[in-house]
Amino acid sequence: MVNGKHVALKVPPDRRLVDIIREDLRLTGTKVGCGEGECGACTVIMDGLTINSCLVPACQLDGKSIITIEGLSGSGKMDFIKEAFIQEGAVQCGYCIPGMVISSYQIIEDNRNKSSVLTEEEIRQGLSGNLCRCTGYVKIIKAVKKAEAKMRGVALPDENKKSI
Amino acid sequence: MKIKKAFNPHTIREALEILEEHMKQKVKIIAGGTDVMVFLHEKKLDVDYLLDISEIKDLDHVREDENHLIIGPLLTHKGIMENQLIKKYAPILIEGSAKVGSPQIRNRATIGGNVCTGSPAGDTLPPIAVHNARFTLTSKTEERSVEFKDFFTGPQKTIIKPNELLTKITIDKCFSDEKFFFHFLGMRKALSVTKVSMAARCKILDGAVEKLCIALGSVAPVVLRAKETENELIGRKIETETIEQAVKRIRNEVSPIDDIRSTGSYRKYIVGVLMKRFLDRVKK
Repeated sequence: MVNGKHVALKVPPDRRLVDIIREDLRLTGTKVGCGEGECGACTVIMDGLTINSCLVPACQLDGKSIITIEGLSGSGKMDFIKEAFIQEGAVQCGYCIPGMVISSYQIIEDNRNKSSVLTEEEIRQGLSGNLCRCTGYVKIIKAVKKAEAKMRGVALPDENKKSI
Repeated sequence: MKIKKAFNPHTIREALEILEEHMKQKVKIIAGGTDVMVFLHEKKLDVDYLLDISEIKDLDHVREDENHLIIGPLLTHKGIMENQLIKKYAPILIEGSAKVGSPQIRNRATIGGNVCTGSPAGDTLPPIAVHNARFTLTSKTEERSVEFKDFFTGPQKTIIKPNELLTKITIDKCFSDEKFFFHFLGMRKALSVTKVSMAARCKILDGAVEKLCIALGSVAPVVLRAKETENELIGRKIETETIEQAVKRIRNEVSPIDDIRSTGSYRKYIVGVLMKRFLDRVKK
């Protein structure tokens, strides 16, 4: 299942999930960066966990449920994140962003039932599998903080401070 | 790509049948895929069949008996980090797993894969080495248990036969009042291959070292137990002189190479630093 729809494809057993997503399903939001699981540009959600789609072969996909950036966007679940990334100026070239947003969504989601919001260290850890060569991460981290706060309907703790 | 077919067995027996039948052919076992997919695509590994074991039931367990934890090879690093038995009886393994790759990698990569890839930089290897790990290898007709020191023969070389599957990783439970230490050096905090690492655990009795296990990663063709240094320290009190001697001794036990990540001399130097850090911590 991809983004809520059942998909049936006939492909070689070692065809990479990222290639199936981009070429067979024409969902080009997911990017190929390094092709070896070291950059996170290909990050998607599979059965509730973020994974590098360049490392999953077709023979392991039977019965799996995949969410790509298109699915997240279409469901409205990333609206707060999208807004925050734009407002904070967290996007430069944009290449890392689909993977970064997928990971951001998942860490906020995993933190949903905890009483406290994500700390900076937790956000850094959670995004440690997504590399960005443009921004230096600072504004991305601010954006994630802002998105989580907005999703919870709470005020950001240090909104007026210059540093994060 | 030349993969002829992929198999997806649901039981160990099915998997062993396939391995036995195709013993003379090029079969690659895949679980989390985070190493194998890189080997297939980047290193152009020549493989005819993929044996996907990720669907085999009950190979990701953590069980205990009085003195051991028995870990299934399909347990992911994420699973290790969340497991209460491992937290209680082998906390150093959690530190090892936490170092692997990134969250995305840890969600898929397995401890069995870390073992079977057999890199001297594998981050779970020094932790399980100091827990005296034994590996159960199963084939259609046989089952054998191999000690850590006999399992690895060189960088990414293990003694696993073509018809065998790793089915259990057995480790000792930690000592009571154990002091443990795991430190690694890498280029970054995540997604970096370890340059040097040390795992150590010890038990002090009446101010002297009663039990001690030290393992080093990325400083030899395989993960090393620093046996000479261990033996030298058993029964001794941890004082300034003992520490100095241990630092010298452990530097002599390692034979690190120069590679793109670091030089041999730097690694040798750091091993001594890590040893001192560990012993200083024990002394307190």
